[in-house]
Amino acid sequence: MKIVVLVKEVPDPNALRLDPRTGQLQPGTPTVANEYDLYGMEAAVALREAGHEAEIVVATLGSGRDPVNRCLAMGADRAVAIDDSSLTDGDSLATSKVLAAFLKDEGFDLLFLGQESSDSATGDIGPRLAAMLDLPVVSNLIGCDFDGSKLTLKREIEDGHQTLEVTPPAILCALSGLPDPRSPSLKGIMASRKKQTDVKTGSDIGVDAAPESIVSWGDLFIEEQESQGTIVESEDVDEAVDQFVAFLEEKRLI
Amino acid sequence: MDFRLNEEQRQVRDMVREFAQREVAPHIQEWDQKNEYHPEVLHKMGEEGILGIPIPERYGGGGFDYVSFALACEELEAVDTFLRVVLSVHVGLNSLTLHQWATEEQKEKWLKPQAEGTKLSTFGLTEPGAGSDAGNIQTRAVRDGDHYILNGEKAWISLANTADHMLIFATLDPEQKHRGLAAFVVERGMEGLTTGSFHGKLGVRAGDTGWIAFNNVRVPKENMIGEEGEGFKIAMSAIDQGRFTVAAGAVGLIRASLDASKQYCHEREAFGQEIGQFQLVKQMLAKMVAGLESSRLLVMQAAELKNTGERNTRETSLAKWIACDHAFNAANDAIQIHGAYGYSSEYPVERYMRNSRGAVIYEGTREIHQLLQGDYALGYRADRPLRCPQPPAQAWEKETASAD
Ligand SMILES: Cc1cc2nc3c(=O)[nH]c(=O)nc-3n(C[C@H](O)[C@H](O)[C@H](O)COP(=O)(O)OP(=O)(O)OC[C@H]3O[C@@H](n4cnc5c(N)ncnc54)[C@H](O)[C@@H]3O)c2cc1C
Ligand SMILES: Cc1cc2nc3c(=O)[nH]c(=O)nc-3n(C[C@H](O)[C@H](O)[C@H](O)COP(=O)(O)OP(=O)(O)OC[C@H]3O[C@@H](n4cnc5c(N)ncnc54)[C@H](O)[C@@H]3O)c2cc1C
Repeated sequence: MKIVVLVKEVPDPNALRLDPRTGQLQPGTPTVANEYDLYGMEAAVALREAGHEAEIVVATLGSGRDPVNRCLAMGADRAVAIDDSSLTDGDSLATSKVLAAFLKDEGFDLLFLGQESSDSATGDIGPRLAAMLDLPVVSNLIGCDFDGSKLTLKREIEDGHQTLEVTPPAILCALSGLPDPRSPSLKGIMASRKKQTDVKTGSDIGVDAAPESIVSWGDLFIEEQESQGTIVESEDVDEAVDQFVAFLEEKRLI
Repeated sequence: MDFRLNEEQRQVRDMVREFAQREVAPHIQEWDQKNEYHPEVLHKMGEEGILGIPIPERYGGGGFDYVSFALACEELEAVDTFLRVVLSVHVGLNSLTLHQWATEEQKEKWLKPQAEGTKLSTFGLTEPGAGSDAGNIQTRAVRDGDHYILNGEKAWISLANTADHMLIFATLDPEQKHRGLAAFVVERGMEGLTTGSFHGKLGVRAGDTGWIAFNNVRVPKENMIGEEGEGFKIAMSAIDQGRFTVAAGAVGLIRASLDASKQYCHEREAFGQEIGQFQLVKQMLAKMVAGLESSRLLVMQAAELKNTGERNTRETSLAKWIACDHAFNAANDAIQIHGAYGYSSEYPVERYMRNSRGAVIYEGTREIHQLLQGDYALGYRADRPLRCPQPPAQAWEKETASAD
């Protein structure tokens, strides 16, 4: 079985520094692997540890190597970095087209990716890839078991959980309800030094021109939060209580 | 100059942090209070590769750089000093010294199992009658055919009662003072060797500190590291590594003191406000921040020199002196911030203070480091090249001519 895991480098959500003048992240903002992606990576390693033979390939679109290096130390066998500056600034449609081209070329039985990225957070790469590759997609994944032929998957839905059975090939979008990603062991880190990272450009995966974006991005800004109080004015206690209850009902708080 | 950690350094830091948090943090208050020593933690450190972090892979280690090694020390001491002490004696004072001075056969025999974590090691220089004045040690080594016969006693030796291998310094001729010393690997089980633990220590109560006694211990001549008369130089280069680990660990202790203080400042109220609002309390916090960051920068400066294999005796001594002074002051102020609660074992800060105190004494007392810095500044002291220079970190080996 071949498992591909997609990881995206994102600004560290714990260290965001926005430059209010430019509306951009400050230069030097630390980056990390998108958190949900590491849950996908952990699920992939766990499948292999459960005794299913698998090659695990981790892939990223972008210039940062830290996320794939972390996944190699966690146990991926090799990495692919699609590092082509003409392809990294597209919207989620364009990004999906690039990733789909790579995935067609690479081939896989299972694809793990994050439910959404912590920076742009469109959450649509998974479903778009499924449409482009004509494969089933299971989103909001919080549990994953494999019996050698079919997967038993647990997903989070609005009012509870849903269990599904899927036969690979399939695309799985990971949430943090899955088991926590491991920290690489020292032996894992050492082993990762010898693992290969293939660097590819668009032409290597059959993307000769950057796919067109249909969405454009405005500035980043921090929303100003205003809090407004509501004062129940009636002096009669019973009336005030009624007003208060009505207020809570209106706000659907009770 | 790049002050950011690379991905590998962050991974090592995270791994060691999680190890210490998982294996030791939940128990340490109790272990410390009961003077309980848990050698199984050391074996787990070995299994996880923590005991070989900066040793090259060909000698069974991890081949990580000195920045990673410093971060490991910081993370361990942020939980408890006894953990960092293991890296100081086993890795800093012993394994890295073998890496620098031992022959290939000796490395194969002792360094490799140490780096792999299957054998534990320590360093025995100090004696009941000589500490700072190390040229004046009295443990005797007398040549007898293919052996040296050792007699004497070592005191204040970390892991004395645990270590399998001990790097022991003895004099061949007390008249010659520091020129008469030699270094030997002594193995547990050799006839005439006994060890024991001290009790009643102010700090590092979860650790093993003790004595080693030699009663006509016959040590094969193949166990001598370096040459006759080279012992003092070997001891001093060992200390260049040990001090580095102590400095890096002190950074962790400052961090722990600061973190505990920050939290308490927000929780505790007096005169109707958080105590963090009082300027005199803020000043204590500010000094901890200054101590933390300046110490860490000094440690990283030494780490960079070590990575490339440049001489770093002065920089390491400076880092050790400054970081350990700051650590004691930070822990002491952390108690002050916690008021009476800080004076009780309900909070960890009194343990930090007791633990930080020893480091102002071992690996060069505060006074010795000040003398060194004064001497360097005045030109009274300069480092001469060594027969076996400190090897660079694995990743720099090819670039450096001195690497073997
Ligand atoms: C400089 C810059 C400019 C941008 N300009 C625009 C713009 O003009 N218009 C616009 O709409 N968006 C823009 N974006 C956002 C960018 O297009 C999206 O980040 C990208 O399309 C992926 O969408 P997402 O992160 O929302 O994916 P999601 O669907 O939220 O991500 C789901 C999962 O897909 C995988 N994934 C996503 N991206 C990658 C990747 N690069 N490599 C590997 N795996 C990945 C990860 O596993 C991730 O968890 C810009 C981003 C940057 C950095
Ligand atoms: C917890 C702990 C663990 C230890 N582990 C080890 C170990 O594993 N291996 C090992 O070999 N040793 C170890 N030591 C011993 C340590 O290295 C010595 O205690 C240290 O070197 C100081 O020596 P001393 O205690 O004999 O003090 P002394 O040298 O007797 O010093 C006493 C005082 O005199 C001052 N002084 C001495 N000389 C001068 C001078 N020239 N100028 C100014 N002031 C001076 C000192 O600064 C100090 O204040 C450990 C000690 C402790 C507390």
